[in-house]
Amino acid sequence: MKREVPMVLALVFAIIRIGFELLQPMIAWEFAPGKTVFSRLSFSLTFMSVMGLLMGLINLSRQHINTIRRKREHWVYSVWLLIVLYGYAIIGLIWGPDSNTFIWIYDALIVPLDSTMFSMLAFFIASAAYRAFRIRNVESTILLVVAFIVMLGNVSIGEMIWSSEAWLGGFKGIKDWILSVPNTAHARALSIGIFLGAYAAAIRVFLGLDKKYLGGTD
Amino acid sequence: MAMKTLMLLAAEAEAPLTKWGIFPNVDSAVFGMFFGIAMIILVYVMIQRARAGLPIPEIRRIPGMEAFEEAVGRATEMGRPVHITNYAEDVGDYDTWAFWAYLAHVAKLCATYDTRVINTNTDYLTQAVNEEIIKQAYLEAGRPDAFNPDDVRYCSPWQFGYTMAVAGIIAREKPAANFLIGYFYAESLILAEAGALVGAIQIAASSATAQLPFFIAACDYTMIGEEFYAGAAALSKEPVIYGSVVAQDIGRVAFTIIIIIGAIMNTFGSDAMIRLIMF
Amino acid sequence: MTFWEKMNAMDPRWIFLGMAVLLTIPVLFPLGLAITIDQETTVPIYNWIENLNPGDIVFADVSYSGGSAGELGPQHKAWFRHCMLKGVKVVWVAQWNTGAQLGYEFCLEVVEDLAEEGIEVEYGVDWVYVGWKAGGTTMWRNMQLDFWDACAKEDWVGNSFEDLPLMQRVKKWDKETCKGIMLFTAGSPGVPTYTTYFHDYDIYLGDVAVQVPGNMNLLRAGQIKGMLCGLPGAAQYEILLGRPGQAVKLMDAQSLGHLWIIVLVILGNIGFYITRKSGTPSG
Repeated sequence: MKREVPMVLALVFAIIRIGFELLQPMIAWEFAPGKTVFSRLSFSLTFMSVMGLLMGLINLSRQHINTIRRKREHWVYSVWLLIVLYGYAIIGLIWGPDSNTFIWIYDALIVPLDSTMFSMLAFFIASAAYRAFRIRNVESTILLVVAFIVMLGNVSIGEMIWSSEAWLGGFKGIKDWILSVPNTAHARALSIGIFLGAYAAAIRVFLGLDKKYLGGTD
Repeated sequence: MAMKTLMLLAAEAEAPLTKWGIFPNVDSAVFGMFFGIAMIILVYVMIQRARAGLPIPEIRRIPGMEAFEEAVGRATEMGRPVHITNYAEDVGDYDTWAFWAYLAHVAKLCATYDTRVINTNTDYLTQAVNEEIIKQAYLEAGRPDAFNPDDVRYCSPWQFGYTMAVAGIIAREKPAANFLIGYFYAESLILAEAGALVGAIQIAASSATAQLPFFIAACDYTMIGEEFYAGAAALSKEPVIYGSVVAQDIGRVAFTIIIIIGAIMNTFGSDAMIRLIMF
Repeated sequence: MTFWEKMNAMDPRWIFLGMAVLLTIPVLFPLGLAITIDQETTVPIYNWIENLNPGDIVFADVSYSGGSAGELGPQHKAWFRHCMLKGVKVVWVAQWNTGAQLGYEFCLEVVEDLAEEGIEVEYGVDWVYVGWKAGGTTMWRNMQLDFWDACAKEDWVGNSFEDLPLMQRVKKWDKETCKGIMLFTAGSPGVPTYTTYFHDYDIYLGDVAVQVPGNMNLLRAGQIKGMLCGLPGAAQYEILLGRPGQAVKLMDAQSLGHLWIIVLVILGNIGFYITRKSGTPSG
């Protein structure tokens, strides 16, 4: 029973979800004027995810409080994490998410931190490219040549080296062809494959063949 | 559903409010429905064939799959932990379901070799399931006391909060093997480079096409696109699961035939195939 | 150790330092490198706004957060500026709650810049920022049927739709009201919402560079009509508007950054072959 009930629930809710996506009468099914069952069910997912967030908050706090109590390595950072975590939440609860303080913290800290982490990609791609782009075989040579062409086709220096008004449209012309033809073909082929793989994975869960969501290893 | 978000072809058409009176007016609603039903029947038939011991086509070797044992073995020899993570999706997503197959496999290997496994998460519900899977693996290996719940960590639902946390964990714990399994966004390269900087052997398996170039550049083994899902099925080592992979391959062949026929018809001025798929 | 062996074993921090220097110099001392306008991706978006009439309403979506603001922020500001100069009315929505406030602030920056140039843009008349509303794609489907009810008749900053003259013209998100959709996206949710549920609208995309290859097939298929490709797209749009700004300035930095990567790869391969020939294990 412990395993069968969740499997049956998974199948039933999968069928309901498919119905709400593909059957217009179910999509338009209203329990009150202007209020559809589908929209209310979707709102319930939002509440469920908020509860998950709350549980995550409790788990995170428990972990870091344990680290502080046992004075494990870097326990000071756990103190700081808890201060920031609860401090920002309390500011939002007391003064509201529209308050100047809350917005200032977002603008002054979260946006720059986000941008900083994203900008690390520029440095890491350089070190990854230096380490990985070696001409070892035909495929890696093609990878390297195409990467050079696309990089130069995107920037002004490429235009200076080989103008888009010259033969073949320069780096930009070749880059445009690569993006339009082979790249589009690969993107579509991968999309089809991914969709089929994802759908097969979903069917395995709904038919009860894959039971790992119940916490087992088989 | 995935079937609706991944339809590729487009054509301008006047459309009524519903199709056949019951299907909504979105591209490929009817075709998608029938294709989905056909796939379910195909999966069921292939699985029944596998159960009955009838011959089904073999799945080719996926290079990244063999590297899992090598990576965990390396971590065991070096006395360093293994790190495995799945970023982007929550407990209701098929990427997470596929990830669990890899997690179970890695957890079993780590439990057998008595190697520490660290799992980082962005979603608490996923973390709860991951913890159960890893605990069960250690239990089955006869080492329940070796399981450390503090090694299954909830980091942050915020993309770069999670990235910073994981990069820091990798820098401090110095895992010898780093598994990046699932759907990733911009954090993919940061996580892969963090692993490369500590000298970890890295295996990525992802359906995120935009991140594949970064994984290919930074990781030792990369499983792309549907290899990720097929690998999840192959890890179960049950013939019945193989049946679903064969079904997806047959579906791909069918799609290819439809595309070829449609391209030929379109070349000669007929958009009947396009209209059929768009219906 | 020979020079090439040292190159192969180079500490990555030297690579990071080189990248940092080459990205910083052009920002402080612009090089003024020429930028080519892409006729297939950028120009369709420009022409779309140019060909609209003053008073036409378009919808725009903020589907990015602070991490992508470097690329999508200049796109957002350039495009919004163009709409305000043409008298095109814009209704903003946001699929990402983490980017909604950021998008609003970008709009305010454009409004302030225009005010300094003597061009008055009035909130509620020329543009409305509805922002993020909980509910995911269901919310977007409900907006098509009854925009006011779906958004609880309130915009991002708490104004009632009753008090906003522009919203009197936007009861539903339908083709009569909406003359096109501009989506600034860095991931999910993003493009599939529109290609699935708004497939018969004119959809235009402002994209981060890393997603351009994946979304190019949508452009080829006609599911989207134009695409601003990362920072180059923003720079091209600024040039089309005749007002080079942040994106144009940063393109020089991007050029040198790309060049650094190319130089590193070439040096790495030379070192790889030389050390391989000499029988030394390479890094």
